[in-house]
Amino acid sequence: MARYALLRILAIVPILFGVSVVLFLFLQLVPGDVAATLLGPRATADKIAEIRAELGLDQPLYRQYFSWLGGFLQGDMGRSIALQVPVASVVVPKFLNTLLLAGAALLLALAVGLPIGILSAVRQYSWVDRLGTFLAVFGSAAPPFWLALLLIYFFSLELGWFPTSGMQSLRGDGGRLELLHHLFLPALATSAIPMAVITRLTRSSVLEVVRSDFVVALRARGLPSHRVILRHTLRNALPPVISITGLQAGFLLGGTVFVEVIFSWPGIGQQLYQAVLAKDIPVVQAAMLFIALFFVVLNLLADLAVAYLNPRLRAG
Amino acid sequence: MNGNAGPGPSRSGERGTPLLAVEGLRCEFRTPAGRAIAVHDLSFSLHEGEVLALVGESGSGKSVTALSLLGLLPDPPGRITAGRILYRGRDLRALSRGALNRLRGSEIAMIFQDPMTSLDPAFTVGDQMMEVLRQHEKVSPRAARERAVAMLARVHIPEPATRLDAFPFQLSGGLRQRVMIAMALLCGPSLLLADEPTTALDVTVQAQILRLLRELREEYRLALLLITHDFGVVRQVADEVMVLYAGHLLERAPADALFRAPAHPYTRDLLGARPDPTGERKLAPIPGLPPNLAHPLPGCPYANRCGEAGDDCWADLPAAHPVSADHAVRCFRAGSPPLRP
Amino acid sequence: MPAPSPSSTKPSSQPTGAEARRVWEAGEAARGQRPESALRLFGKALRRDRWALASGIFLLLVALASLVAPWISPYGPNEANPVLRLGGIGTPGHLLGLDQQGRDMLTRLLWGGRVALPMAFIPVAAATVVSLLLGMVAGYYRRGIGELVMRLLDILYAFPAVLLAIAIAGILGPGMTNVMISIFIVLLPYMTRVVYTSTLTVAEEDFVAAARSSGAGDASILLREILPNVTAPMIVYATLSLGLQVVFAAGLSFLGLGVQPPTADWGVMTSDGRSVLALAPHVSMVPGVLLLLVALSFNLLGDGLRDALDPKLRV
Repeated sequence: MARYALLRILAIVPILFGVSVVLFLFLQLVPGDVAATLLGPRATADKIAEIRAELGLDQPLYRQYFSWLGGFLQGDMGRSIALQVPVASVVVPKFLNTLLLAGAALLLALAVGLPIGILSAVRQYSWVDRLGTFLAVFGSAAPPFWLALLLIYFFSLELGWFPTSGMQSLRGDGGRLELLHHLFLPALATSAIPMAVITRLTRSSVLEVVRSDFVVALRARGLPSHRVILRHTLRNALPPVISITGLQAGFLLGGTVFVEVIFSWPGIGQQLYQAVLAKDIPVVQAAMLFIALFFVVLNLLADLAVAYLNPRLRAG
Repeated sequence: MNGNAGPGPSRSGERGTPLLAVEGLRCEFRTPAGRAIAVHDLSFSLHEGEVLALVGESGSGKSVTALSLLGLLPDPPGRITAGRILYRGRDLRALSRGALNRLRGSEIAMIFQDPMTSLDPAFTVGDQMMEVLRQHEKVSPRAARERAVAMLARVHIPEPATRLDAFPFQLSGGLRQRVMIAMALLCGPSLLLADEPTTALDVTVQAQILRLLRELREEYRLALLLITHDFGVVRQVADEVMVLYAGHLLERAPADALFRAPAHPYTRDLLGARPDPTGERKLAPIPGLPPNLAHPLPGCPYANRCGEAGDDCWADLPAAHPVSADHAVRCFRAGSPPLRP
Repeated sequence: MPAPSPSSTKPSSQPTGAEARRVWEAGEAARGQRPESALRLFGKALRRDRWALASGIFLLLVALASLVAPWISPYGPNEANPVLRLGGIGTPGHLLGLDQQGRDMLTRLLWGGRVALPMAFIPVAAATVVSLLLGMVAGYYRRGIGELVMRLLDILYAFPAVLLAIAIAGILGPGMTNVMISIFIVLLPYMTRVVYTSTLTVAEEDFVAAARSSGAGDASILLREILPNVTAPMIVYATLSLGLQVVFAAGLSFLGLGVQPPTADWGVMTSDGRSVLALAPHVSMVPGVLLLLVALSFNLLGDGLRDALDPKLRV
């Protein structure tokens, strides 16, 4: 197990290296002269030269890369071109806001998807199963931006139950309750896809285990069904669900973009979107690196959890 | 036992109330191709200490029968649609789920074909054994562990205390089947349903497992319902044999009678004793395939593969009729061409 | 007379054994095994699964209507009638209402399909072809090239797909082509992984060994033995993916990173309706519902195809 974990952790080093190269190359993707594009049409030649020097664009590509990477590793993510502040001061708080939104969405998705998925498999073709199928089919097809607008229209504009945007009210007290109140709709809109995926995968995974020989054998030994399901079936059906949850958690960090933009949730997705529009490449790079790092780590954790549940790896 | 409606205490050898009596069992499956009847109107009984073999090809309904006895048919798509299953005179179909669970694993135990997939891969052998024991009896974890070790030793597993902490994947196929048997016997059942217990094992291990089953049957006065497609296995352990084909019981006889004078053409074909034109006996596979259960034959289910079938066989299903006192067969040609004239 | 298909119950008028036999055997022959091929997949899925059939018909209708939009749409896509601005569903002459500039919603939906559908279809088709090539080669030459290709794609895996596409599309600049490029790049690792794993499985099969032992070269094995066997799962994957990509391409336009207004596009239309959500929800809801239905149909069609491909997976 320790050996496996070590190998698995070492394996992400080259991936992160590759990620940094891809992000670095983003700068080269910008059509035309980067500095000129970044500064817009009214920039003076002096200013362009200054930016070129600041970005190190006058140096050969590989040196540009290593100085960029070196800065990053020391915690210097550069300065935002559009906002003229250190990138870290922009990206980090936004990232935390997104974690809150994504975490809430994931909890919601698990809280609904797991029980419905399990019940759908155990009571195949029942009304729970039909509800689960509907959720899965609808959730995975509903455009997130449309769903967000639908929720706003219905729950905010028509019913007036929830605020339409932001994290806090203008004249609010900034308390937890107020935050939750603002969090609910965006979290619900964000949770649609992971909820669909988790419901569907839990159902198929449990169904596969429920049909396996050992479950019949356990029932033949007189174990009551709740014990067969909760102790044995779930234990064996869990690993794929954990993997997919890790993956979905990662996707959520990106999937929140639409919701953050529509609900004006000050998260990393919205920040990235604004940076992309402004061609604020340092912010784009830092945001992407943060998210990729988090994504890789989440998947690593999911893999380690799955490995821990596998007796072959644990005992061997 | 209380509730035994039979006259006097039933002792082995005597024909008192049977341990298990199945009356008119019918199992159906819903398939995409339509309704399929997997078991037709099956009746039989089994006494204490007796070994009854249920023989047939795959799809003959033998495993479905075993599963339905314990109420384990996967529903959907399978369902028992008629019949009674009497265990010591009590109809298992009428029992509550809780009452059935108390019988399963303690009075009636079952072992399965594939020991590789019949143990929960995520728990150790000991966990699973102690779980069964503590489900059915009030025992301390410590006592449960001791009994599990003793039972592993009883089924000739070397180093039983060590094996108890092994995960299933750490054991060989033969050891796993022994574990399955140990687990089945843990609570001292009266009836053991064995679904192809040796099929997935290699030949030497097969022989060991069969020897073990014979031993245990003597020791625990166990009635055994043995499900198999292998007449070699039947010959070694069975007292009585039932031949199933496409859900129909085609022949029932004491094992020695069946091997001496198989009455149904299908049984003869299975035994590989098709009379050859040259007069020699040789092993030959039966031509053709068993019928699709969703599209049954109009008359005798074996008509399309039977060398002796005539128009009457296609028109009607023959009724079962006796060849001798305890030998019954469902065939119009029953006993007509004896094996050795 | 007995029914044409043999039934388990015997007809009351006693048929002769010979007749019963003839009927049964005719039934068996009719059910006899037909060869299965990947090409039959669509037909089989559509015959068996009414949801897949309905979805297929719906998608076909949407695609056809979009294709002939210039001839059948009642108005021009940017033709405005300011008097009826924000007219709701059922406004006379405007079945699905009008948007805030007084443009006919139905017309714009029809024209929108000419943008929204190809914007998803082209990158998915391109990614399918390229990933078949990459994945088969990587799966077949697993040690050298295969290792390299898969490790490189692993890097793209480290980014959440949506984010990567947004970043690429944003940096490349708005426009239909750039949206398609970004979707293509994002899809590639996922599709290649699918081909790669099925190639690994197929390459182990006996018929591949048989072809090799009969002297077939690598190219011939890849094209004749492996390609036909990895195509079917790819068709399923591509179909399922199309639903996602239609929504996603529209999403990029919704964010202003894709097709730009005033071009009629489902994403642009949804975005247009955002500002008038309280007044006239239909402006963003109608194109959104159409997107939902299209995505749903691709999903159901894909599910039907998958079931037809491998009945074991049917749950």
